[in-house]
Amino acid sequence: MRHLLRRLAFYLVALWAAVTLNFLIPRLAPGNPAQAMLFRLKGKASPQAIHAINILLGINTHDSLLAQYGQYLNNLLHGNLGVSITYLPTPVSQVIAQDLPWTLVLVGVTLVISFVVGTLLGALVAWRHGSKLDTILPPVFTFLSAIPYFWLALIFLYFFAFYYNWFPTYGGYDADTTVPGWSPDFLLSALQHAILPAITIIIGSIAGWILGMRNTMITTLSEDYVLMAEAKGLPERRIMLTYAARNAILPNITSFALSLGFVVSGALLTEIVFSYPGIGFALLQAVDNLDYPLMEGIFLLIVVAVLVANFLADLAYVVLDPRVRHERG
Amino acid sequence: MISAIHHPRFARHTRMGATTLLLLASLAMVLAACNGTAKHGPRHNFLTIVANASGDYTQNFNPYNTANITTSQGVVYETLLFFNRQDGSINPWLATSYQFSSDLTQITFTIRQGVKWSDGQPMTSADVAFTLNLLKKYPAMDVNGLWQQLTSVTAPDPMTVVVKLSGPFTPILWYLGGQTWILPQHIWQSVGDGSQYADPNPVGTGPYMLKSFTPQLIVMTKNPYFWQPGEPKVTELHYPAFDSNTSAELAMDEGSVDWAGIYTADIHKTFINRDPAHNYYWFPPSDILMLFVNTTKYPLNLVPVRKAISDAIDRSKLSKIAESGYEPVASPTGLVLPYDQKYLDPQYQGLQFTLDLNAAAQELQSVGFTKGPDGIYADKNGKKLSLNLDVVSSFTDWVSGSQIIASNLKTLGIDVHINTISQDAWTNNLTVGSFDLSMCWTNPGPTPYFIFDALLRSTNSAPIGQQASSNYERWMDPTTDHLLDQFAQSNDLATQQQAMAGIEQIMVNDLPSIPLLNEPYWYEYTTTSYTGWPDPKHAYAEPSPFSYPDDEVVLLHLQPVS
Repeated sequence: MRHLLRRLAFYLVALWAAVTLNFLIPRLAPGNPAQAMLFRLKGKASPQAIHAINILLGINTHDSLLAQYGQYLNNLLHGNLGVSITYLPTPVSQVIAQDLPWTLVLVGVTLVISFVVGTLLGALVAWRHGSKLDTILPPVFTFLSAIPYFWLALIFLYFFAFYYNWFPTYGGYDADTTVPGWSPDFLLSALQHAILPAITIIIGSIAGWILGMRNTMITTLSEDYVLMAEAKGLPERRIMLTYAARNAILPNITSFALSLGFVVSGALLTEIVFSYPGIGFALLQAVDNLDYPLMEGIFLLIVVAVLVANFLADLAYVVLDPRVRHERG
Repeated sequence: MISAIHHPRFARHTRMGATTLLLLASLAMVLAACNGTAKHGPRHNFLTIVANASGDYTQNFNPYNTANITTSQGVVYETLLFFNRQDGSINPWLATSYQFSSDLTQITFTIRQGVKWSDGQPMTSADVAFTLNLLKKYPAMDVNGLWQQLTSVTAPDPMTVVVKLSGPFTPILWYLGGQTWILPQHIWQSVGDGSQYADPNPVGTGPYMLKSFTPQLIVMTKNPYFWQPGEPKVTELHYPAFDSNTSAELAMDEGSVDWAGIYTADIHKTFINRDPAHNYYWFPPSDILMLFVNTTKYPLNLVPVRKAISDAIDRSKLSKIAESGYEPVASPTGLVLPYDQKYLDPQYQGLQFTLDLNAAAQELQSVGFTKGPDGIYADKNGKKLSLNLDVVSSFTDWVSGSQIIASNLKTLGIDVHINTISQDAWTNNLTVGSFDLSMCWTNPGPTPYFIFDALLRSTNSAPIGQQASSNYERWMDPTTDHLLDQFAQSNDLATQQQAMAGIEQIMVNDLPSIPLLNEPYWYEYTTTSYTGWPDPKHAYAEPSPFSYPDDEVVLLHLQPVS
């Protein structure tokens, strides 16, 4: 318990530091949002527009940085993330709420799939070390994941969506014929639109899980307790999973927790290539438009998610690794 | 030592079989789900428009908000007049006529009778006066700076609006009549600060109203109260959200888009050839792509140096290679030809930029530059002629354009360093004047006045280090300001032509900014489902879906293929 409390305190300090950096870093960037907004109009606004935009965004406030910081912390405590500049006057929380479900489902599900499948495959190829499976699988996946993701996704989009018409070319669902909700039509349409982006994400990320698991598994397999289990005549599956894999999986759990935290940052390249809704593109828009409130809102979300995921990993360690319990408990 | 991994007996094929079966089953499900994704074949009864590629929408139809959804200007909210920038004509719209007073300080609009809002309430002069006065009350809404010229707006009777100006200023008609979106008083009077209002369910006088909104798709449907009888003939509009030009382009190429305005390289191969009988494009000029020159900096403050730079640029190569030939070479006068033809000084008829390295060398030598052994010119003090050229890394066509310019100038003997920077850094450098050379577009309007006013007027400039609103090259010249005033304070074509001739002379002789190419309106369309599109022979409006309120005019010309 004391261990967990200590971790909790650590996470609170980390949260404060992250929130503060989150406030400072965007303000150190050059340019100002009014300029960015004017240039977004590409000459369609009159030269006078800059005055209106300055008033609109309240650019001419002369509050000190410290006063702004105080206001920012106060707003955060009240759950107020402010108003997005890019999507003015839509509140940041609404922009995030609109995009987050897409990201959570697509990136979350693909992460779980590639973690589970990758880890199992990694365990399997290590178990059959030297077999055909082991000589073919890891190099093939390493090759696939070494391809720049952007290019891979474009090739998939071009061939499977555009050329062969097996999949839709853009969007999160067929907006022309279905309405978001729990209807089977919408869910099927959403699934159909998610498959191609999901496949590219899985191909791009699975090799890491396979290799990570395979390498630790091989080390674990040479441990005496595995030999002992074998000598006892335990079933093969039990040795592989409960003796070897359970011990080998710890490093993969750590990276899984970390990746889980980063799920909320979205998959920017996927979103761009497939015009898939999600938070990554909103973050890009925020950066392009010097939209501090939206940037800060999304970064805050990422920070919190990463910290929570790490905390969960700590909990998982307590469950999985008896040493953690005994040493510190 | 015997290790488990070497034992073939551990292989368990049955389990693998089950997994494979499961995988195959899910694959079959996936493929089954994929039926019917192809959008070819019979057309839908709606028109699909690519209005932007900036990701998901938020429900904001406020026409006075720069973050708004593009479909609200024109399609929902209308203007008093329609300026056809293709032929310079000014057409009645919500106002049936307008009249300048003889001293040009008052404009009287006669408001069309029988126009109704999409909720059935009548539109009157009170709504017009309310809208204009709202812009006064909330300056953040006054994006065109109307109230820098206006003194009062009144509606003496239901069909008349009287606008008083602080002095004669005729270009105000464009912003007042062509770019002011008339709002319903009965709804907006309770909104408060209109610049902070998202207007999720807009009520306008335009041909369409919102049918449904999702962040991925906006659907507009016919406004039953629209004032033009029998219009619109297109019953439903779809505006899908795209994250990038690439995916918008794929959707266009596969035939699921009717109307787009996107840059696409090699358009014949990717789009036209897929259905030559129905797919078309037209890229009419919109404004001038300028090479901005920091005229406050030595040696760019010297006219011969600017001329040498201009003479050495191979614009036809720039057009062909960097812009796929879509953007023709600009006129040295800075006019957007052929549209501004009536303002072209006869002495500049047929004047074109020519690549002339000898003339460029002479210009440089005339101000004391001599070529060094390394092929680079240096001034009397031995200072080398070396310049920075800013370009935004994500504007790939401009990046290749900069490389052409840099190599052109290198051939002449000017060392150019290309600064590939982010858009933020680029806008910042331009506005505060910390650049040597930088490419940028210009601000078009229905007459050449608008480009030159933004580009050359001293009040649109600022000292180095402070933000200039559009005169980035910092051209401060009383003669130019006077000529601009002369144009703005008149509505007599001959006087305006005379003023414009003076400005053209300044552009040609002094090169305050170096015109490169005509910037086009991107416009692609297909006639599979709808006909009546604008083309060079039917130039009834700016054809790009990003031009407002021209988008409305185009939609009103369309009809479904029977």
